[in-house]
Amino acid sequence: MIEWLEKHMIQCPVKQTTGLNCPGCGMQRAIVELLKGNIIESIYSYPALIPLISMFTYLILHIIFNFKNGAKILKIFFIINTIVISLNYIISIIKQI
Amino acid sequence: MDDNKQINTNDQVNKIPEINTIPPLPGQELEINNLNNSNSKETQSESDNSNQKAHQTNTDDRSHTTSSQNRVQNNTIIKANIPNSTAVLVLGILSITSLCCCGPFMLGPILAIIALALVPRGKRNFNENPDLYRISSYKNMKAGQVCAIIGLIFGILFFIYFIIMGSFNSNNLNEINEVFDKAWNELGY
Repeated sequence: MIEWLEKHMIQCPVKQTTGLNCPGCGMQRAIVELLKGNIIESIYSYPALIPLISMFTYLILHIIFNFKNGAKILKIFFIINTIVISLNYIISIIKQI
Repeated sequence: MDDNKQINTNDQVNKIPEINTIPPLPGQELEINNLNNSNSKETQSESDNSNQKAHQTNTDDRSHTTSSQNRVQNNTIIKANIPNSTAVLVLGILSITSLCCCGPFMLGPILAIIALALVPRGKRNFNENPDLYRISSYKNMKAGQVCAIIGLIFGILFFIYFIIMGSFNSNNLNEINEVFDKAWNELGY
């Protein structure tokens, strides 16, 4: 399963058309690393993957069970995710230069 | 004082049919504590009959008063979600796709705009009669609105960045420099 995923990675259409890294670059590698069990390497290749997964699971649980402060926690999750993704993207731009 | 009492009774009378006209949504959970479903059905049928029959006996009047009391209790007990509140939350959080993948294809900003378009109607419903709706659904809608605004701003920023930098990427820059050099040489500088 994991080997099949590694062989069939999708090429980023943004990179094909513009030649630039997109802010989601490294996500597929991070997913493969996470499925293998290498958490640290997945964080290195895409640090926002684990907060993203936790946010979506929390969203589904919040819709089903209606937590008390669920909306607030989801807002905080969203802001943390935006900060992590944008910082990661700015660092990747600086590395390219 | 008498006028105020009359106004209050009129308000109650006006509020009762609004409760009955709320359509039961599939995901909507009605919290009924002191009433069985059979009793509530009976009260609804009695309310339908009470509109048709003008003259009633004393026993019917008693039953009518009890049913009206139950309905006043229902007014405090039953609280519905604001329509589209969870949809606003889900769309607002899915607008993070403008940041992680397909950012330049405007998928996240489109979802954010749909979420923001659903907000004002729900807010108007909540402000008209805030007793009928849950506060948690209002909080959900507010959080969805904030997430949608953040997603929209970042999506538009990335879109502008990709348009500008994608047109001036490394391969194209050399061609543009050659064109400019030719132009400068032709001008004689």
